[in-house]
Amino acid sequence: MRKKKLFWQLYISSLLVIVLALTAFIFLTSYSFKSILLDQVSEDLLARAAIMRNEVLQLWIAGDMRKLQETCADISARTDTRVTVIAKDGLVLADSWHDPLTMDNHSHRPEIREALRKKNGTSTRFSRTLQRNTMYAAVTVREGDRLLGVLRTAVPLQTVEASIEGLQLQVLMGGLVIALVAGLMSLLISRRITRPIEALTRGAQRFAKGDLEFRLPDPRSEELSNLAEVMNDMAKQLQERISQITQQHSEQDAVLSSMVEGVIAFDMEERLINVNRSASRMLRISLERAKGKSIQEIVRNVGLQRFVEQSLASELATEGYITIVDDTERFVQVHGSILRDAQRQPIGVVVVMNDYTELRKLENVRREFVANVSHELKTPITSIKGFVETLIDGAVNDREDAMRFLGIISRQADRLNAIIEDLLSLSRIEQGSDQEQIDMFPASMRDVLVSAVQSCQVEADAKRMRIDMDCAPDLQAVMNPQLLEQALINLINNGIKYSDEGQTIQVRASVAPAGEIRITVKDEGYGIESEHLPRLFERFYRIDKARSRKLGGTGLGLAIVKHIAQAHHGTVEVQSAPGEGSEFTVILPGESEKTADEQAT
Amino acid sequence: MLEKRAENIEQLKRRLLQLCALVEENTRRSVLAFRARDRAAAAEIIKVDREINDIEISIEEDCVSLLGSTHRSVEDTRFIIAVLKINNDLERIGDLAGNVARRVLHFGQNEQARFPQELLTLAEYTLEMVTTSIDAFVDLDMDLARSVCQRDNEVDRLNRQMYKVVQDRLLAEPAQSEKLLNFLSISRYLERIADYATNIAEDVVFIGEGRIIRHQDYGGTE
Repeated sequence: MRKKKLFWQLYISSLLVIVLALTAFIFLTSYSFKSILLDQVSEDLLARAAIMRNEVLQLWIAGDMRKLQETCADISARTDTRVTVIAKDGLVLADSWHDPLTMDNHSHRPEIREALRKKNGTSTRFSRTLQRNTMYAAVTVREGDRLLGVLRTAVPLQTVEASIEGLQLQVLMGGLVIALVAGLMSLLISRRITRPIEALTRGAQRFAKGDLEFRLPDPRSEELSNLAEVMNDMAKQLQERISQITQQHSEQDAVLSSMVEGVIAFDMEERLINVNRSASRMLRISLERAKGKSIQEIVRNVGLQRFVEQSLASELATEGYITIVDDTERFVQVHGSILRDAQRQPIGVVVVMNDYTELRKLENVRREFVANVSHELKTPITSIKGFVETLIDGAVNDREDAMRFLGIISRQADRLNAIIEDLLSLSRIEQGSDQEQIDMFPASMRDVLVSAVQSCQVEADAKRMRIDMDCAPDLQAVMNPQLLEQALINLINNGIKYSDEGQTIQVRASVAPAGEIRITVKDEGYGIESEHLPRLFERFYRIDKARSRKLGGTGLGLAIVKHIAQAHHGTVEVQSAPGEGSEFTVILPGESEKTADEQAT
Repeated sequence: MLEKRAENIEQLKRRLLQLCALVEENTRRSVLAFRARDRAAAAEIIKVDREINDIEISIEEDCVSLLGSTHRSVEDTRFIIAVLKINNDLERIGDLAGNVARRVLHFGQNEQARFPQELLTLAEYTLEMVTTSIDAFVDLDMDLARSVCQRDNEVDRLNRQMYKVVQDRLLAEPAQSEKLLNFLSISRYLERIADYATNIAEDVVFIGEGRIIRHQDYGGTE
């Protein structure tokens, strides 16, 4: 059902009250006016009858009926009243307006009967003789104690009725005017009552739409004023609470999105609830597009799909490992726990994803290193042990064989020594650079280059190779000259080993435009396949194991170069292609960077 | 992972999507495995392929029992039929990924030769097509599905180039014949994977529009 407006309810009911009250008033007024007027008329009639009574009695006693008729007509003409004399048995003796002989017996008229009983009587009725509403009044006529008959006076009510109607009309008109004025006033009053309520409603609607800054105006009535105050309070509290929630939400968002770990949540139907930045990057999904979709639609990773299913089925926290295959394979540790609402009912599952690919890589490197070291050490020892046993078994007696075997043993021991030396220097550099214990001071770059080239000259001459050097004499750098020299010797020696006879090696040092110092060692040798380049500086990584060993390499040379560069806060790079030679570059931070570093510390 | 029976279209879609994920992942792994010459990974791929075959059968049974139930709309029937076909295509892709992995097992122990660039590009395109066709199925995206169909021409062209490359290199270095023929096999397997991805994309169009667009010329680079 459609609700009525309060304004109409108020207005219509007050209007109703007004109309009812006025109607009752009009009826009451006109009724009492009428009865007062009629009372006056009947008393007047009775009084006239009483005045005429004696004159009528005289004539009646005298028995002069003709004279009685004349007198009646005479009185009637003077007072505008009909006068009738009726004998006690109802016979009309005289009548001012009619011939008494034509009139019927009047003993049953109500005023006559009343007068016979109580000395006088009145009655109002329609007179057939006069064809009008007429009022009759009758008094008894007595001679001493003897009742002779009744004297009746009558007057038509025409004029009385006209004046009553006029009065009623006036009252009605007055009532209508009052009703109009009262109706107008009640309209204004209803308006005044409902208007502030409408204002409150509009304000509440603005609250509902979220405009909590808005404040309701203060209405004049106390009740509404209280209501407005309460509503304003409510809006203020809501506003505070909402801003609190918004803040909490953005804090949570900030925490979630800044997490390195991926966080992803699904509901009980395995539909996405939320995902943080890290997880969306790992799984290549976006929250906007994926929200509300099932895991099967958005995460095409069977491992995670199964893990979520398993976590949803389990009451306890779950843990697992999954792999994400993209352009590469990534290894991810996943923790799942059930999400619960305030009533402790499960509503979904949240999965924290921890990418441990890098860790795994490091772990692999370590494992490989241990295996490699063992292998590299075991090879010469096996050889030494074999030849020593051969000597013990009798070969020692054959001088020529014995000398040959001892030569091999000595070479293998040298090799063992070289590996151990390299390992030791590697760990020294590593430890030293970890603890910042390596002596660093400004020194001449040219001196370092010269002594490195000199150290390699013998090997170069053996292959009839030339080493070109190019370095500004005043070039200075903060360094440990011994370590840097060792790095350069390793690089130059590699160049010599992996080049054909008669080729040239270039050693160059210069300051790059950005301020860093670049030391390059470039050969014209065999070059390196691109797939080996990323792993070239790993310990014991060899492109061709047999060739390296034959050439006396330990597999640690380039690893040492890398660590020396790192100890100088620098890096090492390589550019190479098969058949086009290789170019190794050690990059040391420039003077300016260095000072900036020192200022920072 | 023989999970409970699918009882409605929604569950059927989810089960098929699980298979999608498994097949897509295994295909990616097979490409990674041949690029890295990773025998351990190859063995794992072959193992997962058996699982894929089991799931394929189970989904097929789901489709049959759903087709037997009453009160189905035309769209639902079309969807179930498309699922049947996609299911089959996915299983074939899984098999071919397994075949690629088997080739990896035949690589020489210390073989270091470089892969022809054509093969690497072809592998990349094929993976992209598999992913895109499944994306198109997830979102029922007709435009995406059509883009897969066009990409197939590119893959076919690369495969034909591989024949030429292998032919030339066989003449130049006959000693490498086994290795070169391995490359050619892989190229052929990948090309067929791309074909099945195209089939899936066509099935997606069938679901969305009820129109069979097989054996049409998609335009493209030819």
